[in-house]
Amino acid sequence: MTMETTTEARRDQGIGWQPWIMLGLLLAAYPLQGVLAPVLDAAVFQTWATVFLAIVVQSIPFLVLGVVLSGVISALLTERFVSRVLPRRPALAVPVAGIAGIALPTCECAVVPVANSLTRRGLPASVALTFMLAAPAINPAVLVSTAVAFSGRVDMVGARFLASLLTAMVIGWIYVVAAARFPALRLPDIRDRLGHHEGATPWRRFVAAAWHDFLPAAAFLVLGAIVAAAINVLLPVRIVEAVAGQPVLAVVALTAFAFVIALCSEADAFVAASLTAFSDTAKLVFRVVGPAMDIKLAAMEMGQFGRQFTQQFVPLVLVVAACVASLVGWVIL
Amino acid sequence: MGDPVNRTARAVILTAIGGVSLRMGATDEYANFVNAWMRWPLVVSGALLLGLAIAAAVTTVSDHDHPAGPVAWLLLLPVVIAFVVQPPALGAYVADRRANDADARRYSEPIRVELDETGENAIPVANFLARAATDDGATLAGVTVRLTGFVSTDKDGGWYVTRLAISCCAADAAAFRVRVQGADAPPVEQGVDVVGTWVEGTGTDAGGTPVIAADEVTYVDQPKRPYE
Repeated sequence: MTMETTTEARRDQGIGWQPWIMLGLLLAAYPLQGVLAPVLDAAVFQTWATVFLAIVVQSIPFLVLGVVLSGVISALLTERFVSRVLPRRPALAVPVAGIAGIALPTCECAVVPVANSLTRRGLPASVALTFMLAAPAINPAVLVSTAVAFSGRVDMVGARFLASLLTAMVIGWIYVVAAARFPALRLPDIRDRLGHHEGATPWRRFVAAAWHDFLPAAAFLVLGAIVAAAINVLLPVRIVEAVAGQPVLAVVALTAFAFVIALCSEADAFVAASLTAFSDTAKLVFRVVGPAMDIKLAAMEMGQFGRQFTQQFVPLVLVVAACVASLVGWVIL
Repeated sequence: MGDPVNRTARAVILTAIGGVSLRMGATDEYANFVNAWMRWPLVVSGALLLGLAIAAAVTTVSDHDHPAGPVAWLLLLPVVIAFVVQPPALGAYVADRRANDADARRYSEPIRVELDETGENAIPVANFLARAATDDGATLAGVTVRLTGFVSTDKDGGWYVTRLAISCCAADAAAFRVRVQGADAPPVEQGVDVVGTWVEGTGTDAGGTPVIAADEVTYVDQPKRPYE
């Protein structure tokens, strides 16, 4: 830690070589364009580039909103306030955090930095994770778009709300119970940053939090977008449809599909509605898994919470979401 | 390049990303990638990111500056792609792979609006599909419509007036197309206006692609909003 700080301090004395390398790269890009033209003009590459940029551009405002919110939390929310509002026992705080997710109408990208800053402010990790899983899936914007995509079918909207909320709460409870008993289950690694953000004024704390949050979150989002766009362009939906007839395989296939294609939670209902070969339950699984976990979220969570936590969290959420959604679908639909 | 990204470099990256966001929102470029309502959020977040880069540069944020990992370099990729590659709106490649997979009735305006039986009706391609698939095309029969889209083809030499629709961003694009009869195929991806009438019985509830018998095909530029 100390060593890192010293190296960093030394490096920061001048502007260093990095900005120059970057400027060079950006300038070199123009002549390179000529050399690479045949590749760049290929329809597959152009389509990938459009989809990739679309995912990134679509996420920027939500990410900025998330970072601003997380900055506000760091600046204004005190640990005392958090402990007064939430039930003291984490097991009771989990459902409260799940329901509170209704109040944040954003895509899933916004909520990762928010959850991170909540844990920094003393919220138990299990409670923050519940909020993170619930908010993008059950807010009014998502429910309305689901209603539109499924021509006003109330059961589809209700099943989505219930299954997503249950998934978020089950994960929260798993972390409440297991964190105490099974040390093998890793908690989010929130290296600390609290001390450093204790700036003199709320404004200072706000700028500091925003400055620290945006780059890592956005960079990992780009990593996820690279893969998601490639799959979006290369993988025909019809491959997945081959297994639509078999109930178990269909659920597994749509879970995997939701993970790799990484759609916004406001848009996934439209894609789900077009998967006409699948049962309503399988479509529900697609819409419950997507906002809870996908490849860009996994990448962002690795950046914010650490690799070891994410390696366990990703499969756990996928399994719980798929099971809960199948169960809810089986009962309601 | 494996080194952590230092402070100045981070400010430059932040400025570049903010610049991309601002430019997308300030020009019509955003329409190639995201929905219309995203325009002002893009402008605002671009401005905020530039503001943050400046604020972090003038105030000493914190003495213990955590370096962002080498992964932060990845943020240059969208910047390079936005300014150098400048990818176009999605076109025939996507249309070929997803044509009429989605149910047009979920994407188009209410079809109850009556069409004018004497004049020419400019309607979205998805709306044409939705009308054909409802009540055996009762609302389409005998009216003249104008469809705007780009040209896509199939293996059998048929051609289509095609339009994509998005609900959030280009990643969730659905493709809709109507087969054109009675006119020679323009080059693929060419923007066209097709005026004609529905061929009765095509693309109804029973399935299949609807067909338009063209009276007139004119070449047009890509519309300002490429998606429906």
